[in-house]
Amino acid sequence: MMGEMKPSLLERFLGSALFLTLSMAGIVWFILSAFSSVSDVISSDPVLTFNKGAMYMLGASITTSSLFIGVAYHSIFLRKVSSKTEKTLIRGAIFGVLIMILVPQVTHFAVGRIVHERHYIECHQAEYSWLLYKKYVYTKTQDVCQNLSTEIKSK
Amino acid sequence: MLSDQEKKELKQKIKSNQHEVFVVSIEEMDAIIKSWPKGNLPHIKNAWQKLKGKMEVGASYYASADDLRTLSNLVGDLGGFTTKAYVKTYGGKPHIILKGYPGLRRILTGTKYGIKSPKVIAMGLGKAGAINAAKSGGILSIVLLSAYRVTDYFLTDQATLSQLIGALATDIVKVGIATGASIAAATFVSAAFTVAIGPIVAVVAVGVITSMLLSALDKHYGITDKVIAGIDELGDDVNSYIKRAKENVDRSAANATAEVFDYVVESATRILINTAKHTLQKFLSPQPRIFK
Repeated sequence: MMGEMKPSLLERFLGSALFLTLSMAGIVWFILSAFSSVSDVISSDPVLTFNKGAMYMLGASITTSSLFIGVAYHSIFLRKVSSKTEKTLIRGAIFGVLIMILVPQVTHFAVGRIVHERHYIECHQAEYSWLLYKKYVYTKTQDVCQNLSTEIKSK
Repeated sequence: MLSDQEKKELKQKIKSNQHEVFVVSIEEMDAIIKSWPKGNLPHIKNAWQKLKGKMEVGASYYASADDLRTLSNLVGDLGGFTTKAYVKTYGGKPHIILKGYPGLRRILTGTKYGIKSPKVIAMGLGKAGAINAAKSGGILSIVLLSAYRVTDYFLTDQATLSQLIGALATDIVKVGIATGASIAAATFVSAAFTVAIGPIVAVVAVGVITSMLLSALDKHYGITDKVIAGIDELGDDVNSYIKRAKENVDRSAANATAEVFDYVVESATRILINTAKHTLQKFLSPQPRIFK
């Protein structure tokens, strides 16, 4: 196409690497965190950890994976994907954004119900948050929470 | 001038309308609620938790919500997914082409826009729009985080200047990396896709994923805590260095003074002894003295 510039070698592979790394890291983190929370619930562990930040990763990974396909295709073949494929990929990316918004709220609500039913208390001293990222910690008793926060402080 | 009666009334009014205002941090308010006997009542506990949660959420969600608002505004203005917006090059310059019924659109009512048109940038369409959204989101995050950190520093008793500087430094680095990654993602996507909505979707997803990963890494490796400890250590080192230097200067000055004093005393003694010797020699000499 007229006026379209050929991407540099760095641009070609850096783009693919960025999207691949982010989507892989995101999905692995989501699976590990979800597995950890579910196993805490099943085993009725005295400390239940819910990483709300990791719940954003499912949707974010779907989005970055969809975009990765288009970016990687462009890097390898130096041309854009077909209009039909592009439409599918963009729909996938937008679906990922919707999942990214919904999953953390839904899972947080579900975890909230479980901890309420099982009489867990929220251990604010052991929690951590930065921007959208938040790690919730629930404990069976106040003593467990106290021990946990002392342990964290001593690290 | 007010009469005595009026003055009394005014005094009474002021007395009855006195208010005490306490400025406390979230943590301090939390402690007050917990220690207050009525604070254990469920409705008071719930009200405080809701208020506290809203304060935290309000500060942290704004920047990301702003990007999502841009995206939803864009989708809304394009009439859902009925309008197709894609990038095409005419006369060597990229343009945003809108296909669909223009009557459904409120802002982008035309069919062709330059890639750097203010309307396109404001709506976050195309590469320039997405980069602009990422930049403004990054700046907004830094402003909100700085305001939050500074307020927290002033309202928390145990907070130190090192904690403020350390936390702000890592915040700025994290936001900077997330913004940079978002801009890079928008650039790559705009090169690979013709759909104009692609870059802003990439900005939202990559911004969220990068900031989350950086937060988790910071928490896992305790980077912020290490930076604060480093600043504390540096402060201690500087203080101890200044103290040591001052002591050295004092010691050197004292030594120099002592040496000068010793030299003066020694010299004075020598001069006195020499003079005394000379005088004595003169008076006790057996040689006759000649007086002119």
